[in-house]
Amino acid sequence: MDDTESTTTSADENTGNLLDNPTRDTLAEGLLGFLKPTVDQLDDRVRATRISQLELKQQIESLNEELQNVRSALNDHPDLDPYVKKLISCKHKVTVVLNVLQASQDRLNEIRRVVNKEKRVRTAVLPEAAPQEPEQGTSAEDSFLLIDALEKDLEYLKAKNPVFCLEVGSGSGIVITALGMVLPQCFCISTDINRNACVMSKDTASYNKVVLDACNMDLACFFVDKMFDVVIFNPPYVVTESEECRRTDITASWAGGVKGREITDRLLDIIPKKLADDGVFYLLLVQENIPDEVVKIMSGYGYKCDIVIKRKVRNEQQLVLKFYN
Amino acid sequence: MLTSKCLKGVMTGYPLAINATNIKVTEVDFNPEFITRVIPKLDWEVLWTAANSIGHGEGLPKILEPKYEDNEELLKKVHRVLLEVEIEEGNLTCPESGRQFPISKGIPNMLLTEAEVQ
Repeated sequence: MDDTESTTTSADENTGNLLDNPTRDTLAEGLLGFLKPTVDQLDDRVRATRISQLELKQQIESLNEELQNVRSALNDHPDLDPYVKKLISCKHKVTVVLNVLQASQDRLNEIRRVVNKEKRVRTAVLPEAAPQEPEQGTSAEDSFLLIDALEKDLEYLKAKNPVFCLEVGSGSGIVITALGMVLPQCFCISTDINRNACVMSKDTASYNKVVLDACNMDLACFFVDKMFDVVIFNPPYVVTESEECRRTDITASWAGGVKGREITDRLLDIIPKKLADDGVFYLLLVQENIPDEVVKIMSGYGYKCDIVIKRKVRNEQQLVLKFYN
Repeated sequence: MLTSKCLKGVMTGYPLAINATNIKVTEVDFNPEFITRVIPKLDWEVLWTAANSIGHGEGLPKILEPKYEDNEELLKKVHRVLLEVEIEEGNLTCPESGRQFPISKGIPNMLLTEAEVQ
């Protein structure tokens, strides 16, 4: 552009000087003719430059537009915000769920701990074969087994026509009461080391109109000899520490000491003395009491043995043995 | 009353003397066959003494006659004293040791102390 201007200025100066001289016109014309292609060329160049300038401008404008787009894209990114918000709320939710899970886990652990503790206490008190609820629950089940055994043997008992029937450790009294009901011609006596059990036995019997005398005593120690035609015993058969089977409270209804047989063995020793010569003795045992040993002890006293009934109750093999001469 | 005739003291103390402070009489169905079968199992003299000691011996002969099983009146009296007369409160005394066993609400307490068991 600078070139074009300077050329234009010098041409003007030349043109001014040549106006007054006609010869100069020819020169001017010649000069003009000489310069014209150059001027035209310059003109073309200028035009071309202008066009390229315009093109450049357009380019710059479009670039500017692009830049503005980039800038606006950089300045505000509205699309990301909701996603970020969603992610944050998601994180919250995960945290909450995690907390809930943690709390649940803690609770489960606590429950497991309590269960284990309970289990430890139970196994300490009632080893493997122990019934779940020694106080009332399962005692009913072994009582029913004993009643079933007596029922199974009812023809035999009726033929025997007993006068005195004794249940040792009668507890609630349901077994001796059941016997009294099917054998109205006999006199029923019960013993229990626990006085409340004696009261309960008497109540059970009188409710069912059975005449029953209950005595608060250990086994059958105070009865005159050879008195009983039928003796029934549902012993405390749970294997426990020896100390535990020397009590007279509710523990006495299940704690059987070594092999669950300490109490049973004491009764076995006095059975030959208390049982009439043609008497019969029904004894409930569980497998842990080693029934074979009991059979051996009794055969030593000259008794024969039959298994009247067997039943598995909650993994506990219960059976009723019958000893007679 | 029947049971008390079946009890003895710690060793052989028999019969236990009865001291009744409260006697209850309840009616029980009379079963002559049962009474006939019980009588030979009991010591008649012991029964007679005991019945008199509690004031219910009236009508009972001191010596049991043979063929008692045909004597319904006697059987009824025995039935009464054995099954219907119940000692509610009182105690039983061992003739040997003098040890007393209390009877409360019809239930004799025959439990021994640990010292007695030794």
